[in-house]
Amino acid sequence: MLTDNFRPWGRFDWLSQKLNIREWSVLGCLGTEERFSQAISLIKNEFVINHSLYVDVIDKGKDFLEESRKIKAHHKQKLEGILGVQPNVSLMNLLDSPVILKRVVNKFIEDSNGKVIIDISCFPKRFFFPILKILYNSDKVEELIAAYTVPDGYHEGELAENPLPWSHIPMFHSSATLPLNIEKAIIGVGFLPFGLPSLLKDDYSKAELSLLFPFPPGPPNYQRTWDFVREINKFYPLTDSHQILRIDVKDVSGCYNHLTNITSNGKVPSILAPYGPKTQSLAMALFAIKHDCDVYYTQPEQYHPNYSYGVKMCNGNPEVYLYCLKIDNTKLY
Amino acid sequence: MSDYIENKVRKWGDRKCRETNLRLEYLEKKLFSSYKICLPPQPDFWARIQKWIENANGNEDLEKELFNSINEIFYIGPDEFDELFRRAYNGPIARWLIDLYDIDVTNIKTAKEALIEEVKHTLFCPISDSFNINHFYHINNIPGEADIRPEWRTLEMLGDQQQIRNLFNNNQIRNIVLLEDFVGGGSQASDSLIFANNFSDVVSILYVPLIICPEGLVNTEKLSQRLGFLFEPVLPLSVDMFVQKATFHNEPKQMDDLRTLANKTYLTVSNGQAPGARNPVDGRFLKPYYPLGWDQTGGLVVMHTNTPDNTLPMFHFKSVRWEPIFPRHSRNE
Amino acid sequence: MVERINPFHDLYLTEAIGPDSFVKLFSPIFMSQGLALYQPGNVILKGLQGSGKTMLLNLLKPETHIAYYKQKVEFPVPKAYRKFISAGINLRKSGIAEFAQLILPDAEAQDIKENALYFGDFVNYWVVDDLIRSIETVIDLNDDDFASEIGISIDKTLLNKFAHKLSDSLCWLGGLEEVESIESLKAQLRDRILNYRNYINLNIDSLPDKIKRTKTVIGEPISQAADLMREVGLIQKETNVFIRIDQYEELPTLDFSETDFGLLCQQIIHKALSSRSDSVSYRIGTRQYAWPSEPVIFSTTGILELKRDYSVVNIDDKLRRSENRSTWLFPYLVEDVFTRRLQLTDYKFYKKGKSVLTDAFGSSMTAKLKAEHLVINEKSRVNILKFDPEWPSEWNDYLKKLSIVDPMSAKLGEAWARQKDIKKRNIVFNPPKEDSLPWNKVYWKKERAEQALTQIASRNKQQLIWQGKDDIVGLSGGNILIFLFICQHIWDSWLRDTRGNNEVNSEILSPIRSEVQTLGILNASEEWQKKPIEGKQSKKRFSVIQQLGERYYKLLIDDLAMSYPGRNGFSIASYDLNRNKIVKDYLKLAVDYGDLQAIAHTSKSKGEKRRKFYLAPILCPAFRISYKHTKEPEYIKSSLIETMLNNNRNSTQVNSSLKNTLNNKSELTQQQEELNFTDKPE
Repeated sequence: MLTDNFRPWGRFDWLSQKLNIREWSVLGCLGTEERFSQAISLIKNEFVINHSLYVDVIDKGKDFLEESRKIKAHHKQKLEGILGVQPNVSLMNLLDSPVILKRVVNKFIEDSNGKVIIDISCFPKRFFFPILKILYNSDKVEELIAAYTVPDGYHEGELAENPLPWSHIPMFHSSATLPLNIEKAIIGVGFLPFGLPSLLKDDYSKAELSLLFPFPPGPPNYQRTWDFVREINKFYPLTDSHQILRIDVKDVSGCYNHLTNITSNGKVPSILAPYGPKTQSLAMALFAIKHDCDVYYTQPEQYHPNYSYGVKMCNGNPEVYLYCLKIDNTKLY
Repeated sequence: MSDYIENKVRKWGDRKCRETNLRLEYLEKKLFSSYKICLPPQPDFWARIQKWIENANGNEDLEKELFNSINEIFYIGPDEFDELFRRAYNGPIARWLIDLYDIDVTNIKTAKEALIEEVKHTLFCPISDSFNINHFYHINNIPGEADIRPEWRTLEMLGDQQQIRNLFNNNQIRNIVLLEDFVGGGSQASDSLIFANNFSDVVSILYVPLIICPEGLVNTEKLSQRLGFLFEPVLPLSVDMFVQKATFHNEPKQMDDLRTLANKTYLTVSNGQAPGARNPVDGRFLKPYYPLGWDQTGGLVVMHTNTPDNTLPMFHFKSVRWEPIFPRHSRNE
Repeated sequence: MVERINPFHDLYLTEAIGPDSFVKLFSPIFMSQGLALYQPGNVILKGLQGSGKTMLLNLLKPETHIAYYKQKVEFPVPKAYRKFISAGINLRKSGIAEFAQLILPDAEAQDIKENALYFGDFVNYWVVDDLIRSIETVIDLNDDDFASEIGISIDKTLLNKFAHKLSDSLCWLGGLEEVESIESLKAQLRDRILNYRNYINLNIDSLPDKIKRTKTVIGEPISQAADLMREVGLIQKETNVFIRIDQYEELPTLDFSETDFGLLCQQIIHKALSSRSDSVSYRIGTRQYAWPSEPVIFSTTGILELKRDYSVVNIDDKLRRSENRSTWLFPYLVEDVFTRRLQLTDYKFYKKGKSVLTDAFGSSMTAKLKAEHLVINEKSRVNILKFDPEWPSEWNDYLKKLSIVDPMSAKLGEAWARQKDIKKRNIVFNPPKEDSLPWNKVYWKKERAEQALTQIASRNKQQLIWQGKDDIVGLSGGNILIFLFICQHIWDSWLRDTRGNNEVNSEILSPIRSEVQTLGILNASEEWQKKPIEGKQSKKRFSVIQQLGERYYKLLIDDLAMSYPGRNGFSIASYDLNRNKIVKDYLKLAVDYGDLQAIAHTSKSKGEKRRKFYLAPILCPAFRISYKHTKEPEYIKSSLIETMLNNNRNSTQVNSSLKNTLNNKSELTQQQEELNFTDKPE
């Protein structure tokens, strides 16, 4: 907020009190993770909820289907308890057409009051990227905030399984018709680089890599993150230490600024691959929307039901962050 | 002649050691080579790791344990610190100024100007000389009028309160941000904080430690509540990043292993001195204090500038019988 | 002073460095096997990841040819085949998957078909645009000699003439306005592509009516463009036009909404190949699993015919070892690749012969020598033996004495004494003389040497030894990427081993020591084993491979009689496989992704066919088993693999099968002994 463009963000308990708008429409994901309801719970206490919609995303893989179903049934009841009414839930399959998603989101916009909070915590990237694009570009959405809840921890084993081959995230295919000489491949560093060497090798082998290394936080993710970097380095040169950029996971604006710097404000043709934390991916999504970049991802067919557990607390308050994306129909990114 | 570590790895024939070897080779290049205390002409990482293994005196199991224990170190290098500096400035400090001056965050046009105006009336100072305040100013491109940045530990010992007030007055300083790189239990900074609090009638005070241990967090919160200054760390380390004194349910195996290793090597590390030994004259605790470090914190942090004494002494304490892998430089031996 | 770098540090370096350096690193060794790519006729180019497919297709690109020309390096394609120009599309990068995602689950068959036609139309516009770009790349070079070599005119006015004719062609079905300039033509082509892009990005809700009404027939505009280029003199009549379609394997994955859109897209591509037009030839790059055995042509019941409509260049087959070692290309390929990489550095090894690989890594040790190296301490060699309690002490003493001088022979002797044949077992009462050891019969010994090494290493709590040219080539399994991966790790191991050592600063180096190579290869194998598995059913594929690896290690070390030395793989009867679709599909997938290698073999037993499967060689060091195939693999039923697929590692089925195998009670193992086999690659 100080060194870059002013884009308000911060913990819920801090930012919520500073917002003039007191009535919001909420779009979230009815997931299996405990943190799915933290943001809406706080929103309900602090604001008036004009309208809400929760999307229930069904995995393609069948291994955890039953377990997920039970957890979500329980979560649906919990949501009802928070809202005080039957929640509005839209069922979608993980690999459903973005046409369906667009219809759902457009309907949500129609039903909303134009002041939207999207809780990205539990959405697969395949969903929150296009949802964000639709909301961000809609003139009817005058105010837009993204909410993110930090979990207590992540499942120690495989977080997701059966990755599909890499492809574009829906609605994030550059409209460039001339073959671009991609100079930068910007990777959000996560835990498992599914398909990343193939992605880079097949078509972007000449691009210079920039890795967005999430820091803070620290262990235990820290060691896993370095293993990711090492895996990539086996296949691709990382000769300059500046190619591994430490970026605070929570600072979406800071991450966005790094992207701007790396690409000379979008002038350098680049591709993005968001393997890292959701907040970093949020910055990448906003950047790609602004600069019409290709965004690639390897979509897993299923996620572990205990992908994350708990909600991280700080001074007795849940760590839920709000990021202002649009204020009074002005895009901040 | 063959490299010592390579010979050992071959001889051990252990898969985990092979993986550790590959990981350490990589991390040495990307991280560990920045350890200031061991920059040339001091022994490099590989020379130190040889001596580290030799601590085991040929006991192969112990050799392997020592070797693999390096995996658990949380190393914070210069790039990590740069990001912590940015995070401090754009996070806690920005939010504090917004709160202090009731800046309207929804008015994008005026909010930034108002913030920068307040920054000009803010003095950023280190608590101790281990914090690189110049770099903090440079990396954040902080505007300011006052060209002195006193270190408060020294000020507290030698400073004249009236002169300090004059400084504030002459430079229109309304706000002070006190910064520290690493806080263990919080006792070292407390005197400086108490001293600074003497000026709370003329300046607003924010204390921002970059990295803080759980005990330091608790103690500093108590102090801040007592004295009335504000405090927000950048990277509070969570309890699960520390080796606990006793085993507990669901404790990760590597933490249990580290505790066992720290305990069984302690008498060698300390050259026969018992845990918790005190100076018979003044009653002060004698280094290296305990198997889990100062105040039995059980830390695993190594900073590129030094290793805190809350970190397990087996990693940093040098004695007649023990060679550390990341030797610590103490102020007072 | 030699700069301490790893020449194999960046595995995809060859593609990462641009056309100019491509010239230095591309190995032309493979060209003789892939000449069909540079001659008229459609070619399906199959290969695993890392097989070199992309590099071969890159040779078709004008930029690559220009790079060779500029550097005055002989272009690897023989002179007689150099008259060509190419254009192409990468199906994944161009956004084909997004077409599929527009199809809703309740879409009518007609709508799905229509979307497939849009796909075909998109390919047409894209490829024609790329063809023009390729021509312009050559023209812009403005070099008569080069243009003449590939049969292209550099007269720019011909471009406009061509544009006018092409825009006027009926093949567009009214989709293009007639134009006079090449720029106008390109603008229209790109406008169409932009419309498709906006559509798949959901920037517009539907395609413009004009596009809906003017969908072109796959291949027709492309052929027309080629014909008109020849007609106006832009390219010579004998200049071939090759159309590259890469990542065909993307198409079968497109059935997101449980429709057959992906299948229809495949059929669209097949239709392009079915025209048998002389105008253009297609080069389809694909992974093994994707190309169907019967490629159906869109909107017909016809099927593309192998050899008539297309031929296949299967890189993996050509590079995999066959019976006739002298025709095995891979060793020559890796020799050349290795040499080229080394030439980019200052490293030089003592020259012993013609092979730089041998200079760097030495020759692989014999099994006898490996056994001696595994147990360097002669006094410890006796520990490699396991004595039967009923053996007489004279026999035990004999073996102990033998183990000190020849541990391999002693271990084989131990196994001999455990044979079922009573005559062999009786050797314990009459130990042989030194020069007449019955277990030294050439084939008996050769078949069991690897198993003996596995057992010796196990007894001595050590890893197997991996070193030398033969081991490195063998472990690569005919895959150039794996070869480079192994070299990378050996080199890293060597750089670590010589850390701070001035010896490496000398100009000429000795071969890398065997223990250094062993550690490097072990690292490579373990890293490969841990590598995130990609593709379909990755979790199950990974699980089965782990189970198989562990199983074969256990079978080999527990088989003290060495009755089944070939048990580092398994064999399933074809009839059994055909009955079990789950296992058949899994095995096909595992082979297609390179987890397993498959070899057919036929028994003497009246027409019975079986298939053998082995772990990818690179995985063998991690599982401590040999990659070499000797004698018959383990005979199993498909149900065992099915059990593994269900991840039921502790199931009674798996354990009982294992018990039966060890006790020789399985009817399959009896069958095994009766049959004789010859290996035949698939």
